[in-house]
Amino acid sequence: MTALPPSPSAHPSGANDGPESSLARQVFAALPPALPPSSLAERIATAVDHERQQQRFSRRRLWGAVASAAAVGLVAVAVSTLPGPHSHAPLVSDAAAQAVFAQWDAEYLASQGESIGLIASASVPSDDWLGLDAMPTPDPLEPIVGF
Amino acid sequence: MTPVCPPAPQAATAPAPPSTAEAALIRRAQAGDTRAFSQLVADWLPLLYPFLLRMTGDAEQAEDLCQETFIKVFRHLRGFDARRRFKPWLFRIAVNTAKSAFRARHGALVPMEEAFLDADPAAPDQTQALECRLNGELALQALMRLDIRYRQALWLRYQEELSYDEVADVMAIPLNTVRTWIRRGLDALRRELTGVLNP
Repeated sequence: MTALPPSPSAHPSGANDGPESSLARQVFAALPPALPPSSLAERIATAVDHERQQQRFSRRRLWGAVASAAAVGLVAVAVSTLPGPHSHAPLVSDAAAQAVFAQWDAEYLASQGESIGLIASASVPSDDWLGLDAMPTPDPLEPIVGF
Repeated sequence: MTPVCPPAPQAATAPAPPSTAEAALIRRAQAGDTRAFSQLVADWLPLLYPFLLRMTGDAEQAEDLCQETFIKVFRHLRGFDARRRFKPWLFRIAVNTAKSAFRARHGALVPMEEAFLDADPAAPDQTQALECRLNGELALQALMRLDIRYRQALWLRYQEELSYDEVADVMAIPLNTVRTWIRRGLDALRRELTGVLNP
């Protein structure tokens, strides 16, 4: 049987915990052994290996996604630097020019007393306007000749 | 003349730095050496399993918690500072893993301490307990009847020889609370042993 040590004089700092520690250590020393099952280390190794493979797979997927995003970005940058109608600036200026020209047409036809139907058909922007970069910008103060 | 108090012994509070071999092994494992990690498991499992077994009172659950703890160690080992002691870090992960498992099993409304107290004191490795000496059986009974907080604090302090600061860190509680729980745990342990030895 275990003989109990004298009553502990617990020191709050834990520095002078001789008597109390002897009680606790005596109890822990008397505990029956609790060895882990022999299969547990192997089971842990298998689980860790599975975790390692998952991490590799995740890293590959991440790098694949990064590479794809980088490729798409490169293509987008290359396309945007091409000259001509593929770039954003000419498209915007074409559309703006269409609207301005259609408005001038309508104003001119109305001032000449033309019918509403003709004005409407003339003021609808046409696809023919697209790409006519060389067309000179008309002076809004002068009537368009030959319309 | 004012008496000069002798300096308090530092052994109880100042933990020893990690050994060179331990730090080297951890660095190898951090670098991805699978054999080094296996060696870490082999070195620490014999300490971790009894702790979790005595905290849970269930061998199967202790095995599950050991496995989960080492998986977390594997996941986070690169972030561990190899100049620090590995044991407190490992046991902190184990304690947190056990807490999470108990909350998941018993629900958030049941504190872990109550769940632990429901454990059957005679449940852990009954076959071993039958084969052990009588005083070992009584010691186990007395220990398992303690409040889980006191049992955990006593184990970390006196079985694992962690400093008070390290126990506070592992259990994520203030240092003064560690002192209180250890003092109360020792009182409770004494009462339990007295009751067991003098029924």
